[in-house]
Amino acid sequence: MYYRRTLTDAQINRELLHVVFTTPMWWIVLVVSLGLVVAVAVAAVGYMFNQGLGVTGLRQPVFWGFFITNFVFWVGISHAGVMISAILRLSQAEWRRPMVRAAEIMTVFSLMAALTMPLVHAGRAWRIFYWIFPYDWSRGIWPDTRSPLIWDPVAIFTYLISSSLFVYTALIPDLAVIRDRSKGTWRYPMYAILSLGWHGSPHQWKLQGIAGILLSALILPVFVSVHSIVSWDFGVSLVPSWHVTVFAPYFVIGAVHSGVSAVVTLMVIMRKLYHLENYIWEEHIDALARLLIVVATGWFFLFWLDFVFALWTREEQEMVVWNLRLFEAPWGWLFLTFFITSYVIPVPLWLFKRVRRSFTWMLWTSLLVNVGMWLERFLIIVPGLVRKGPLVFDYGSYRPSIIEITIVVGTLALVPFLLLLFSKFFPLIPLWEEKEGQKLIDHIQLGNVKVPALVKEH
Amino acid sequence: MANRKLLGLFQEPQQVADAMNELKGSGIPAEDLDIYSGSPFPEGAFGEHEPHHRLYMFPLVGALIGFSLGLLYTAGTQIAYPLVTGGKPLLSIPPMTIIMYENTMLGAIIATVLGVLFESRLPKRSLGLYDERITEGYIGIVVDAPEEKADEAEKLMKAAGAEEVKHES
Amino acid sequence: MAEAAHEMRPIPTHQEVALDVLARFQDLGARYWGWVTVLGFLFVLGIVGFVIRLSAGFDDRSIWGYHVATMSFIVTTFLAMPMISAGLRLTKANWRRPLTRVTENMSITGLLVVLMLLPALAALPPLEGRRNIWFDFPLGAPGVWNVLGFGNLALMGLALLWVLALPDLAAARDHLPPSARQRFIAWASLGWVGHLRQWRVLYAASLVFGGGYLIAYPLVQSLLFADFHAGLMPGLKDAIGPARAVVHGVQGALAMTIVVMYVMRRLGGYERYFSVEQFWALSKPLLAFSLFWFYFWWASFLTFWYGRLPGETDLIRFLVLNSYLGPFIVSLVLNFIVPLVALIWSPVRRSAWGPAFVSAGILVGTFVNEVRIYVSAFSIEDPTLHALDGIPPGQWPEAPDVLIAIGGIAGCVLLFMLVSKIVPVISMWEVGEGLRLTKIRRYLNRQVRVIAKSH
Repeated sequence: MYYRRTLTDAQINRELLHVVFTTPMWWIVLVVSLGLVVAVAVAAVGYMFNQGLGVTGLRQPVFWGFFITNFVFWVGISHAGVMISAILRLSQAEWRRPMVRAAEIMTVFSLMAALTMPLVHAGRAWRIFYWIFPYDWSRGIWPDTRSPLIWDPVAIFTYLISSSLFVYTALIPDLAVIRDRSKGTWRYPMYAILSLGWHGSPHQWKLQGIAGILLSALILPVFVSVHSIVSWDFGVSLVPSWHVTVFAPYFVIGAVHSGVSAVVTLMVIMRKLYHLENYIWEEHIDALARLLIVVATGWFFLFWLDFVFALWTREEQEMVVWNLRLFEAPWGWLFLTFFITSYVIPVPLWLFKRVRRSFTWMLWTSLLVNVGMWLERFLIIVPGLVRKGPLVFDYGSYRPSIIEITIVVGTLALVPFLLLLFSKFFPLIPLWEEKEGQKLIDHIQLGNVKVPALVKEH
Repeated sequence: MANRKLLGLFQEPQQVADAMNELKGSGIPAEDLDIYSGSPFPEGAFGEHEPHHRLYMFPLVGALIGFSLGLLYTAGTQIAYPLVTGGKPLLSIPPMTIIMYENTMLGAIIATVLGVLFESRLPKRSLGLYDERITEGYIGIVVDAPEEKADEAEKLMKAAGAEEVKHES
Repeated sequence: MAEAAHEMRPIPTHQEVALDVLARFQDLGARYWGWVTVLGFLFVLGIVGFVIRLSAGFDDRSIWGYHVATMSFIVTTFLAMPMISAGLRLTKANWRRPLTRVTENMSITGLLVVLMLLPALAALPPLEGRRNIWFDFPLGAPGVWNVLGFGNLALMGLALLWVLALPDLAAARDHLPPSARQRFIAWASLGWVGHLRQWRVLYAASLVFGGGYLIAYPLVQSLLFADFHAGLMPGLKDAIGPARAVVHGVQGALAMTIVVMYVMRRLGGYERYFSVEQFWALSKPLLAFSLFWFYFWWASFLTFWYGRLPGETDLIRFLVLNSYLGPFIVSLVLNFIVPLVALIWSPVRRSAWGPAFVSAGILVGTFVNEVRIYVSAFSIEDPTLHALDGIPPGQWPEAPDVLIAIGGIAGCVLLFMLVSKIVPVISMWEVGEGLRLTKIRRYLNRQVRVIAKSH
C-alpha cells in the first residue's frame, strides 16, 4: 500500500494506543451489553446442562444441529486471520500492515467460540475428557485415534496454540512500547514481563522478520488441515450428501470466504470505533474485496462440483437430500437465501470499484456473506441427517429450541466481546509494522508525475 | 581494563548511519556496536554487525519431536486398547497420519517461537542501559568499548548529532 | 563484506533490452534450424504412432488411453502456462515481466490439443447407461461441448498472446529487414503505434483475456476429468477430481515454466532475463502447489478409505494400491515428496538449478500421473457397470503409445520455437515498463531497490 500521510512514531503510538490508555464511554457500553448477552447464553448452557439435551431441538435422527453448525461456522471465521496474515506476510504485501493483528486475534477468539460448541453440544461437557485426552482415566480405555472426533480436537488445539503464539510473537515489540509509556503506573509490571525485555536491536528485528515468515509458512498448512479435518467429520461418514471427496477444500475455501468477509466487517467497524482513519483506507478494503472476488469464485467452483457430482450418481438418497434442500419449504427458502447472500449479491457488486472502496457497502456486503455462510453450514449438515434413513418413516425434522438459539447468539456476542477486551490491553494494529511501513515510502518521478513507490531490500 | 557501555540517542537515521561509520572508523569493532530502534530498518541500513543465528534448525528439531510424540500417541493408544472400530484395522496408517501431522506442525511451531526467543536472547531480566524514547522514534547506538575508547566514542556520537549520551550507572 | 552484500547491480535501459531481444529474435541460425529439424522429426514420429492407432479404429477403446494421457499432460503443463502470466499480472508481481511472454507463447499448443481431442472423443463410448455430467442433455454431448470448451481455451490463450504481443510485434516490424516474416509480423502488429488510448485498451484486454483464461481452464479440466476419466470408471463419484486437476495444472505450469527458463538460460544465453529472482519467486508457489497436489489427492483417498464402501475400496485398489501402484508411487515421489524435501530449503529455492531439478521431476511425475488416471479409465471394458468387476491389471505402453507421447511433447516444443520467431520470447514493453518503475537508491549505509506502483 502506498502511504498518503506521513506519520511520526510518536503519533502512531498515541493514536493506536489511545484505547489502551483511556477508556471511552462507547467501549464501556459495548462491553457491558455484549457481556450481558454472553451471560444470558452462559445461563442457557447451565440450564441445558442441568436439564439435559432434551431442551434442545435435537431429535432422532438429527443429532447435529445448531451447535455443530455454529462450530463449523466459527472455525470457518477463524480461517481468515491466518489466511490474510500469513499469505500477505509471505508475499510481503504492503497492505497487510493494518490488518494482520486484528485478523490473527479474530482467529484466536473465534476458535475459542468454536471450541465451546462441541463442549456444549456434548451435553455433559466434562465427559469429553474421557475420549480426547491420552490418559488412562478408567478401565484401561484409551482414545480411539482412528476417529475423526479425535482428529478434530487435536487439529483445533494445534491451531489455537499456534495462532496464539503467532499473535504473541508479533506482539512483543508493541508490548515494549506500552511498557515504555506506562512507567510508574500499575500497568508497568505486566507489560515489563510480557515484553520480555525487548530492546529492538537489528538482530532482534531480523529474527522478528524471519519469525513472521517462518511461522506463516508453518501455520498455513495447519490452517488448511484444520477445516479439512472438520470437513472429514462429515466426509468420511456415509450419511447421504456428506460422503463427498471435495468436502475438504470446499470447506476450507468456504471458510476463507466467510473469514475474509469477517475481516472486512471488522476493519470497517474498527476504523469507525477506534478512529483509525489514518491507518485503514479505501485501498485496504479494496484489496480485500478483490481477494474476495477470487476466493468466492473458487468457492463457487467447488460448490458447483459438489452439486454436479451429487447429481452424477443419480442415487435415490442423494436425490432425496438435494430435493429437500432445494425444493421443500423451509429448506428451499434457506437455500435461496444462502446462495443469494453469499454469492449472487456481493460478488457482482464487488466488481465495481465504487463499492469496493465504500466502507458502508463493504460492511453490508461482508455481513451478508456471513449470513449466507452460516446458512450454508446449516444446509450442509442438517438436511443429510433429516433424510439419513433410506425409508420414509425414518425421515426426521429439526427445529432449533430457544436454548440453542440463545447459545448461538451468545457466541456471536462472545467474539466481539473478547475483541473489545483485547483492545483495552493491546493495540489492534501492530505499531511496529506501521512504523516500518512509513520508512519504506518513496516515489519515482516519471515525466510530470510522482509515482508512489516502495523500498525493497532485494 | 573494564569495558564501559554507552547509549547515544539520535533523532535522525542518517545521523546514526554517519555515527556508525565514524565509530567503526575509530577502531571500535562492529561486534561491540549495537543499535536499538523502535521499528525495523532494512537489513544493513546502518552498516551494523549481523550476528549468526540458527533459527532454521529449531522447527526441524521441533517437528521431529512432535512427530515422535504423535506416533507414540496414535500407536500407543491403539496398542494399549486394541479394538477394531468401523472395520479400520489396528495401526492403520491413514488416520494416524492426520494426528502425527498435526503434532509435527505443532512441534515445529512451538520450537520456532522458542527459537526466536532464544536467538533474540529473550527474556531479559533487566533492560540495562536503555531509554524510553527509543519506542517513540529515537534510535540508540550502544557502544561497548574499553575505558580509553569510550570517551572518544562519546565525542564522536555527539559530533554526529546525538541528543544525549547515557552511561551505564 | 556485510555492506557489499547490500550493493545491487545497475539496471539496464529499455533500449538496451529491446536491442538485445530483437537481435536474438532476428537470428535464425543453423542452431535454431537444427533444433527445429530434430523436433520436427520427433513430431512426425508421433504422427506415425497416431496413424498406427487410427488404423486400428476406435472399437477398442483401451488403445487410446495413452493418447488421452498425452493430451492431458499437455493440458496440465504447456497449456496451463498462460495462467501464470494471467495470474501474476493480476497480482502485479514485478518479477513476472521477463517470463510472461514465454508462458503466453505456449498458448499456441492449444491448437495441438484441439486436434488431439477429436480422436479422443471418437474413442468415447456412448453416454447411455453410464454416469456422465450431461444428464441426457442433447445437442451433441459430449463431443460438441468438449470441442467448444477446449476451443474456447485455445482461442482465449491465442487472444491473450496476440493482444499482449502487439507492442513487441510493432517493434519487430520496425526493426527487421524486409522479408516474408517481416511482412507477416507487420500485418500481425495491426498498425500499433502505441498512443495512450491503445495502451489503455491493451491493459483492459489483458485483464479480460487473462481473467477469461483463468476461468476457462478449470472448465476444460472439468470436462477432461468428467468425460475421459470419471465417466468411464464404474461407481466412481469423485467430486474433487476437476479441482485436483486444476491444482495439478498450476503445478505443472510452474514446473514447465521453470524448466523452459532453465533450458533457455543454458542453451540460449538468457541469464540476464531469467535471473535467480525469477526461479526463487516461482519456487515458492511451486512448493505450495506441490503440497496442494498431495492434499487434493489425500482428500479423496481418505474419504474412500475411511468410507469402506466396497465399490470405492475397489477403485482405490485399482488406481492407487494395486494395479497402478507403481505409477502412483513415482508420481507421489516426484510431485510431492521431492519438491517438499528440496524446496523447504532456502538455498535450493534461491538458485536456478534447484527449482529446475525439482521441476523436471514434477514433469515426469505429471506424465506418469496422467497415465494412471486416463489409461486406467480407458482400459475399463464396460463403463455402464455400477462397480468394478474385479480389479483390472495396469496397462503398459506399446510402441505407438510411446511415439504419440514423444511426438506430442516434441510438437509442443516445436510450436513454441516457431511462434517465438514471430513473437519475441521476451516481452520488451513489459520489461521496459518494469525498468522505468525501478530505481536503485542509497538508503543510509546500503543500497535498496525502489519499485513504483504499476498497472
